[in-house]
Amino acid sequence: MKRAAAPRRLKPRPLDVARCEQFFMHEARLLDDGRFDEWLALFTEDAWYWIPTEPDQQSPFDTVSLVYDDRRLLETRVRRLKSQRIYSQEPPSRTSRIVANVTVEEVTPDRSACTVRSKFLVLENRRAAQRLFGGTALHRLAQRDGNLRIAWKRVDLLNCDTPLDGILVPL
Amino acid sequence: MTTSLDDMVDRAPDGEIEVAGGVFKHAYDANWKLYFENLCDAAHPLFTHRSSIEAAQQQSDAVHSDGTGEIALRQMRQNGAPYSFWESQVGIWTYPNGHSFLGDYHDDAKLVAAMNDPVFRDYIAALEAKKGKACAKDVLAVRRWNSIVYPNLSFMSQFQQLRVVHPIAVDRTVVHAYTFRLKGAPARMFRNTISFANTVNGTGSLVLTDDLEIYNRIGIGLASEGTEWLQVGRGFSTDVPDAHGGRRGRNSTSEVYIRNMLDAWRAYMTNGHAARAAA
Repeated sequence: MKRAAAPRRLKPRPLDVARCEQFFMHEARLLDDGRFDEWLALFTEDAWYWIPTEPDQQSPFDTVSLVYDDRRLLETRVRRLKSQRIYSQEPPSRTSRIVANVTVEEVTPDRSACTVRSKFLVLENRRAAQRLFGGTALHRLAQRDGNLRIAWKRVDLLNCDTPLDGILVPL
Repeated sequence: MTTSLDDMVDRAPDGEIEVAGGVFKHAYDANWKLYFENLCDAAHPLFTHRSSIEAAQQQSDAVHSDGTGEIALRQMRQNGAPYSFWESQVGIWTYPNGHSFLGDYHDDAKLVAAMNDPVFRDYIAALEAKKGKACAKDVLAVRRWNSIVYPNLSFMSQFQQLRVVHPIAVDRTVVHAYTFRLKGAPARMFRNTISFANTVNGTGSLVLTDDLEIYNRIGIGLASEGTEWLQVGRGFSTDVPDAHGGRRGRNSTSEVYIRNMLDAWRAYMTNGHAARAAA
């Protein structure tokens, strides 16, 4: 009888730029493909997702935000995106995004979490119009069971304080 | 309209309000009048905001919230009030020169600023300490939703929101939405104001985005040759005269406030020479 192999102790994979880049490419692909449930699953149970209205905005609680979702609201946002009656996505947006210039800004001493900065460009096409969003993203990534999860995400749009039509597809 | 303006300031325990919390600038490709035609429209939430109403109704409240989602979800669910609610509990009042307000809608017991919310209790205590119990009760008894100061301003006192509508072109509008702080109110209350603003005025809001879509669609429709006239006749036969030369709908679903704005607009466009057409 074959003995069950003793569980092999997996060394946690390092939180390096290459791994974060892979993760961001995966995230970008989920969003471009409209796989919003899978995107939501990337977030931790108490995550938040934030797009400020001001450059260098200090807090989502004393100043308005283009988007500020705690986990509960983020779930509702994603559920609405799948609704048959979301008129603002009829026809749906098509997006194509590029993530680059990834740098790891800070890592916890036990290497369980890190803050990562990246640059992004998102092209959005809907009806006859094409829009271009760009800016800087900050992700707080946490190790969970050998995978990366988003503990929070802050998206600083270059044009955060200029007049904008509705933002539907997450950036 | 004096009551609406007083209500904005009276709700501040110290009797002063200040614009704070940044500004939303949302834009759409259609005429500025459409924005005002929506603000006091009680008939649309159940239909236009269906997607966020259903998504909110299905959301588990066991999921983590820092307070933001709680406020947003309560508002979205409130938008799902049955049509009969708008017909039986809410009213629309209009006055000369295009002004109007929607009233008796958000009662404080049902809302974000609910009576059992400790922040709101602290607020009431602050209001009573400054103004006395009787006066505080009178202040809170004024239940206004949106008030329109025609032709460019709208505000909502209960959640400290103020909107200024900027016509850019016949088919382009930019709206600036501000929040204001009630001086003397608990600091935490302003956080609720911000959460509410993100929900109803946010460029990425789950609610406003459907309104912007409808403005854009109407803009596309109006640019076509398909329709020569838009009908704004809802409630016309049941509107009744009101004090101060105004008219009110039998209930909030009347489009009397749109007819009232068009009356004012015609007067502006004819240098006041057109006779008022009794909304």
